[in-house]
Amino acid sequence: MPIAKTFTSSIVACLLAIFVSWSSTCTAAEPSDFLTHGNLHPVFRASNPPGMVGSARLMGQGPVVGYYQPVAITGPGSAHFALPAKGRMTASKPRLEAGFLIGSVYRFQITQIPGAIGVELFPTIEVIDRTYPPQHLATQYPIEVQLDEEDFLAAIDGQMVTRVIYLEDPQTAIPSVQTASTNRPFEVSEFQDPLAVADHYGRPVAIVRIGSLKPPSAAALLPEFFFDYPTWAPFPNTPSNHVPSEFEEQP
Amino acid sequence: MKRIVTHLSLFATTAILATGCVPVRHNLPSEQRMMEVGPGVGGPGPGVLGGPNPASAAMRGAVSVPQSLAMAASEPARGSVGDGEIGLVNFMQTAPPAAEGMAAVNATPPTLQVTFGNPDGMQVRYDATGSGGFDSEALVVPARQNFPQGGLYRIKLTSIPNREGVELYPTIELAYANPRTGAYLAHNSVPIQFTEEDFDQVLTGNFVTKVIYLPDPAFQGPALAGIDTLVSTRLDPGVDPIVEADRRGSILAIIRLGDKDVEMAGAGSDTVASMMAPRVAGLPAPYAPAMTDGCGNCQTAPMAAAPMPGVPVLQYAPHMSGTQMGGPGAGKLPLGQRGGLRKHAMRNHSAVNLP
Repeated sequence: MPIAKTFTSSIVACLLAIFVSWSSTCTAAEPSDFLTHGNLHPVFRASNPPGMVGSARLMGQGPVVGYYQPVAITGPGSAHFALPAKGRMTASKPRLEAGFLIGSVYRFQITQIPGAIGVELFPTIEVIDRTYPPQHLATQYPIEVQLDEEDFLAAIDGQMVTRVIYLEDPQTAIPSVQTASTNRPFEVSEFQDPLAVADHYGRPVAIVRIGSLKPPSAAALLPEFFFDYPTWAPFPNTPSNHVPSEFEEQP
Repeated sequence: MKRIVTHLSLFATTAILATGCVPVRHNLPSEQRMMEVGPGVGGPGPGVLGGPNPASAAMRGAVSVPQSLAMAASEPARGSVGDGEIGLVNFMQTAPPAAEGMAAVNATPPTLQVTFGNPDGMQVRYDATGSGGFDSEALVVPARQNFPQGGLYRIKLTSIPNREGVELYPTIELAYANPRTGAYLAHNSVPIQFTEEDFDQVLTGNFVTKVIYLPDPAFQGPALAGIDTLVSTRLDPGVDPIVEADRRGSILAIIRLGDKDVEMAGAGSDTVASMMAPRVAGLPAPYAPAMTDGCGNCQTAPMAAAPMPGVPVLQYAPHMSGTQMGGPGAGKLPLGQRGGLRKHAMRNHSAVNLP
């Protein structure tokens, strides 16, 4: 009988110990714990009007307001790129390097498209977040935007191509060296939002939308077409980014 | 005493086993998670504090330029190797005359680019001065033309291939851009095409309605990675192409094509009396506002009526929901009577897709 009593007391003590230890280690459950990743309700999508996602980022945290994020745009073959400056296009070059304001939308020009010489495209780029490169090395580590010939041909065909550039999550990034020449884009299905997919794999930093819209002939419509000509900053000491003399800023 | 010691040892052993003897660390959530609004409202993209006004997105960037000039000169210049000076392009921008000042920007209506793609060689004319005629220069298909959004336009089709002498006057109704169609309309044109079947239907006395819409992902087939068109003559009898297109996505344009000659004397043309002058010279002038809804006036809140003597002031605020249900008072359900509302349709033109 004493043995049975001791055994019962031991069981009670064990249960009590388990309860105490469990109550001391558990934390309050967050409501989001009951939602899977796919059940989140996205506020923004890549199909939102240009400027919507980036301007929302300006209301978020971090030093993003007024920051000119260095961006480098390259394309296949002989493709050249140019930016508007005071109502005219700068000299086109195969690698476009400039600092873009976060939240603003920049429309640039693509010429000398491989396979469609003579055709011009006017896609847009929207920088929705910034990078944090080492100090004094911002322009050496720009956001690399590499466009494909397939993108151009699809846009010329009348489709709309949305390309989301994201910064890989260092915990899940593929451990391979990525240079400017190694581009690893992947396509998403029409049922997926590219912004959501990019957000799943990392941190989206820019959205490039390519269509076949042409500049309007009426001069009064050009500011709307170019999104009111937001300010951009050419990379310093880069001869290829030199703004033509007629575009020089007046003192 | 032995029993107490035994119990205490058992208690301690079980506690250590249960906790794993691992110290509990309370770390902050990841930065990505901290930037999200809260549970149930996640990405994609950066955290948000609320949906911004799409129309002011570009404006916001422009406004932030002056206060960011110092950062602009410092941040990218840090990466420079040389003198570090950086020249801002388009700063205090001046380029086209119409771009100077907010008033000029606001005076320009949002436009939509239309591509007349078929049949080749057909000529398209429109009213360019607001006079009620078709006094524009002829557009030879394929051609593009910008139209202000939210208008009803009448065009004139001439030189139709294989149909000499036939002149048709279809109307084009263009919807306003909304959060679902804004990105598409900012990068692509709306293709308007007339087929031989359309002309055959019209010339035999039928009325053709074509609805061009941007389908929702649920209605977008793998082979149709773009917009789609519904034609009334290809649908089952009784199916309204406008209703069907609105169910499948967001309407971009509605084309109505008949055989009425609006330039015939005494034809009762509707292009004379209600003609409005074009807001931008050279752009087509609408003769009526579009009936398709959009977000053209979504940003304007309902204005409260000014108090008038003898008129009681409403003690409740006017609701902004789309439904007429709820909220007593005039214009809704009369108190003490049975409600007669049997159906109310709500269309989701927001950025959030609710299939």
